[in-house]
Amino acid sequence: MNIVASILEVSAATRLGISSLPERRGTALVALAGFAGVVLVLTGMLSIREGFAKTMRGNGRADNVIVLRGGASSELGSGITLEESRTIGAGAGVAQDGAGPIASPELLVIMDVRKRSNGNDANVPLRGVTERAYAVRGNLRIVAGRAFEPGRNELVVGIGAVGQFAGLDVGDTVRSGSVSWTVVGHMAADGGLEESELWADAKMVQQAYSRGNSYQAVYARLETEKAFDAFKDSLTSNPTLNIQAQRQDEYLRLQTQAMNAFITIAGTTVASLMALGAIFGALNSMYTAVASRSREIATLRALGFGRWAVFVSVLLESALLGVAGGLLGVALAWLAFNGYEASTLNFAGSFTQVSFAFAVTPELFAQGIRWALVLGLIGGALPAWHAARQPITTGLRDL
Amino acid sequence: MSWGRLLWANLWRRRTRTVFTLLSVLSAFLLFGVLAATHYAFVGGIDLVGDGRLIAMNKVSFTQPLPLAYQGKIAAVLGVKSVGKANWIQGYYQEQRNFIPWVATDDAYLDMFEEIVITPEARRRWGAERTAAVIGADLAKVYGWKVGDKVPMRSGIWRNQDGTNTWEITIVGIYTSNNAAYDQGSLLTRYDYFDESRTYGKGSAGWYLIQLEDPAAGATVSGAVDALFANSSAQTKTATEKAFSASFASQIGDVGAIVTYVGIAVLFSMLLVTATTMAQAVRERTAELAVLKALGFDQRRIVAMVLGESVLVTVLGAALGLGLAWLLVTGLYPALARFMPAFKLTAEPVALGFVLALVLGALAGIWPAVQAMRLRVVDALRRA
Repeated sequence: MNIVASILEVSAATRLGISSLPERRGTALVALAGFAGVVLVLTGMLSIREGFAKTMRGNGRADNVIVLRGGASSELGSGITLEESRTIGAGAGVAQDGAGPIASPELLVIMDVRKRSNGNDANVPLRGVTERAYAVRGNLRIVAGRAFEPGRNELVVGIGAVGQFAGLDVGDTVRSGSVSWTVVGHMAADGGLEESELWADAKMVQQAYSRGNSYQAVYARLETEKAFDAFKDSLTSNPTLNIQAQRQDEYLRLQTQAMNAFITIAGTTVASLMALGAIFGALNSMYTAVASRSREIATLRALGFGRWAVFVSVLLESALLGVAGGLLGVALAWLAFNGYEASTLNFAGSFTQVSFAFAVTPELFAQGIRWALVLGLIGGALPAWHAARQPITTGLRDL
Repeated sequence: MSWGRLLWANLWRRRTRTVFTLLSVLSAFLLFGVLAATHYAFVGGIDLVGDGRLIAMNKVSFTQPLPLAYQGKIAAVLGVKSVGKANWIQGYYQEQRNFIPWVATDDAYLDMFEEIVITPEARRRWGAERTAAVIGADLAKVYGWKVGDKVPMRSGIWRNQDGTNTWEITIVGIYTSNNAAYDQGSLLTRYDYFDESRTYGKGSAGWYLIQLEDPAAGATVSGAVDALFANSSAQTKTATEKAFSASFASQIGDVGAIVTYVGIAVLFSMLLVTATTMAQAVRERTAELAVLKALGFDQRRIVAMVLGESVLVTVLGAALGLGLAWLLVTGLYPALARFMPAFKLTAEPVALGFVLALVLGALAGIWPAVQAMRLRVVDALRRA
């Protein structure tokens, strides 16, 4: 038998099956809804992972480095003196601009600010920076108000934090301990981590929270990505320094790992359990289909259609239901979750709130459809096999 | 044939279909059970924390220290029984990924936790040895540590005067808890040993723990403590341990809401599956129902039969699913105890599960039951 004939045979059998779908719409819709539910939940949960990773890693660059004290798990547990920060800025391979080396000493204070969604205090990062912080990052824009002025208790707030926390509009005053900060501007950073932060003059932050003149990290731009090893060696070989240097993208990737793994495991576990239920729903649906079409299938076989044509046609029908359910599921997930703004605690890093938006990415789209297709095939295989094996006489006897 | 046996026989006449429907309901309730345990771990477990203790920390945030002098001042506040100090050390063993929750603290702190159970000998050695450490039973299990072991413990925040970030500790006791949901994965060491050898932040505490004379006086005492430091450079924020736990849990995100949404999606799918199955079952049995009616079965018994079958499927599925969920949660618990000490399937969600099964079974059966009730004997028999 040639291939064209086989394709025609299968497509004729499949079309016949699908044409009778409306008569079995009850069970078919259940199978479809089951698939859609699984894909909706899977895609919805994984969109949290994608959104979080996008914010965390979006602005990480391979030619940026972050320098912390040796042994520190994150900026929070780190400490770097003014002296040390100068030595680091003078390290090998640090890029220069008109104002000197592109190296930014920074300190981080966790500040309690009220979260809009539940009215509870949450950890918000207040970053003390100098002018150099803008040069290292390169993509910060003031989108409202103005930048803070050195020497004043002024704040610039990332637009992510503005959405998640109360009282951060331009002109608002934020009280923290015995100090009052005035919000003078909002900043955007292409969706990156900086949008979750509050920025102020490093000197004022040191003063307000009794940090002397110490910092916690130095961010620096390298001349090229390849300059990293030379930079690191120049610092670690210096006996007066006890530091660790990491590429910024790597540093952020490590901080995202745990959350990534957690959501992936939770999302796939929940979706897998739901998928079990959906497969049984699909089995019911396809067995009903096969049972109600037993005469038709027997007639086809009597006309000379092969067993495998019947098998493939039932399987295809189920797969089609799967893909339709999958499409519905990802579409619903996209409508319901894409762009939904939330914030969570960055456990692995600064221990502060990261504001991010759920992201239903093209990869999640494809993954959702793949899942639904596989579920459809699993749900259809057994009924298809039974349909193909049914003796012609049994089917026709029902007539 | 009794009504019950008729119901049972009807259930199994289409064996494959019933089995598939049951399995579908089972998976839904298995998921429901696991979700309930997760929800409890994140949200419900908070209720287990005692109300008789307050936490006082810096108003800016928990990372800002408080002066050591506050301990005595707080102890003098009316209604305060004792005050313990604590410092967060961000411990790890050998490598940073082996994170260990490590708190440097004092006698008062150790003694006010009735949840921390140690032997009198361990308590004596804690008082006598500067490097003494008390560790949770779960933590001891992970690294195989025993009483008497000396362990080099490292900090992700602090540095020791000897130029390292390592403190050698001596394990003098392994604590268990009289409350199964209490965290048994922490490390406690003496504040004096830590404070005298750290290179910065000396003479400060991360937070104070206050034991109340009367648990009901929490609001008054926390107000009095905060008022005491209102005009100082380090203001405090004092609240019950429970309030802090709740506020902290809410920082992760609205886990409760996510779990609820997923739960609704799951139960809705299950409702669909059961409802279609019942509709099919009734459609198939049109002739038979007509015969029963002709024999004089009244409407109520017909409705009861259809509804009964539907409820039987969902309740049976729920029983199997929740049973399996209990096995799974119990089986996973040892592996998860360190991260989620309250990962448990409690009686409440199980009861709720059965109520939901009843409701869903009734909802799924109601339309087919109405159809069966409306069935006119003549029409039905003619159709057959």
